[in-house]
Amino acid sequence: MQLVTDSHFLIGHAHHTAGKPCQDYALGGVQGNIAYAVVADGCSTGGLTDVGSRTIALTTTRALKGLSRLPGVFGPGQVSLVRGDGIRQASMILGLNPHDMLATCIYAHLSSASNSGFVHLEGDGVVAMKLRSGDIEIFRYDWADNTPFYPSYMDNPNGFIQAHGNDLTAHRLTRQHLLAKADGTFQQFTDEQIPLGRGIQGVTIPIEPPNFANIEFVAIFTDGVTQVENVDWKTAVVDLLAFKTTEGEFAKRRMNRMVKDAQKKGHGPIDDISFSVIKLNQEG
Amino acid sequence: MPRIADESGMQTHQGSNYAFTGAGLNRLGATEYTLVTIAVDVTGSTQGFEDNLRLALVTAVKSCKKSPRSDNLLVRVITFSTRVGVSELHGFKPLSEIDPDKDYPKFQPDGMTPLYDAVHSAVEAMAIYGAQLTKADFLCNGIVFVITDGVDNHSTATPAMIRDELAKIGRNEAMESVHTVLIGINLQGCRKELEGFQKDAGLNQFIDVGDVTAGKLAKLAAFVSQSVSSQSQALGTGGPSQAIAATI
Repeated sequence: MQLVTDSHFLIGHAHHTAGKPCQDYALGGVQGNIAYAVVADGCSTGGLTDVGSRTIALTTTRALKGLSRLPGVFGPGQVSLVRGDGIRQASMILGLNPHDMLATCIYAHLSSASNSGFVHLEGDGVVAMKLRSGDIEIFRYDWADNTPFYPSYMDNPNGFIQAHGNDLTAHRLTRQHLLAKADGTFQQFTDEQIPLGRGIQGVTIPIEPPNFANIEFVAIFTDGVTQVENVDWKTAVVDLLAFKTTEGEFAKRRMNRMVKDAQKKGHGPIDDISFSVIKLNQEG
Repeated sequence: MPRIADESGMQTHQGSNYAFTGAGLNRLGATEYTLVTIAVDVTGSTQGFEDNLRLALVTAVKSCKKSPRSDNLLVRVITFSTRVGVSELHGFKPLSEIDPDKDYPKFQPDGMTPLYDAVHSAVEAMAIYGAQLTKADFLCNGIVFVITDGVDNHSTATPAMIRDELAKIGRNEAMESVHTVLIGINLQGCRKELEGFQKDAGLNQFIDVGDVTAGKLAKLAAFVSQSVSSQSQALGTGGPSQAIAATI
């Protein structure tokens, strides 16, 4: 199995017209037999969250690459610890404050050695796995009141918990799970309500060996994919995974075209949009 | 239409009257490409300066390799005369895979001038391949250079067919833009006819290089390379580049 990645991020219409920077960031890469993909979305009302989203994405990447060199398996807990150290160092060097670090983060980590991996989501966004059958399994996560959990809250989550009603059992995070079938139809599964106490730990989607071989692409998206004007969010996800060719900058090509087509119907992405994709190439 | 890939990953495509080759789309990794076609007259009348003509071609392609946009260029080179017909030295190919010193053999001038066929082949092949790139999510535009020392005297294509082909590219949004340049060398009194052809066929630019000298052909090579860079930099703007004023 050969793993290849590509990613892309674009400024949304709202930030473009308001003269704000793009606060999304995406990257991906391969190191030996592991591949990683990361997206981050800075909070619009935060500080220098364009820098914050990059810092979080880059420190997450550094943690994933570093942990992959060690023997044994690791999970989001270890990533969070190593990343935390990176964020502290970067913040000190760049003079960033916690307000600048308000950014969501989704990352995927796959290993072709163990034929397994996981996707971890902190905040909101969409995770999609395109199967070799052509079907796409899609998970969408939304926080109530559009107030997502940011990894930087982990040091002191009390303010966030209070903002969500101070009840750790309250259902504040929603997961929509659906299947976009190759025939163009959608099959919606039951929405899951996730309690606040569980949501702030992040959500992990494991990818186990039996499923690994059935997956062609693992893709992660910031919530910008759900805000493309006059394009249903599910269609946007499906369109973004309709790669014509997969050499080189395949994700950039697909997103550029998808956005160009969307701009014929409206303003295109209203919010910043980003995605990062891992292709699981069976021939490799 | 269907393509047969050879060992080098080039695929053969069929136009209305001519086959051409292009790099398989699965091998292309960038987001955008400028297609470049250079058509060179190798008819009998180019005898005497064929080596300088070849050198101009080699220099132009080598200069393109130095362009910051070199990774985004796919170049096709054809020669034309009734002896060789419209002959492809290579199809649309990444610059990194072209070795101008080896890939362009010594020209052997002979025969009459199927100029319209050459231009039609250049434009049609670009339209077909460009449409495939566009369909596969690549952003793409193109530029065509036709270097000739005389007027057409042996073609089945007509200027109207070339004009139609160019119009089709715009109508079908097959490519973002295509810029076409007709370059006359050693014209010796047929300038007016070539200007007429430029207008009838709807070509964008006509340049009369005048009498051939090594210095002028070197300038011609520089012009080709600059125009390619300029067109490539125009990608994404929605239109063609501004034509470079050539003083050759």
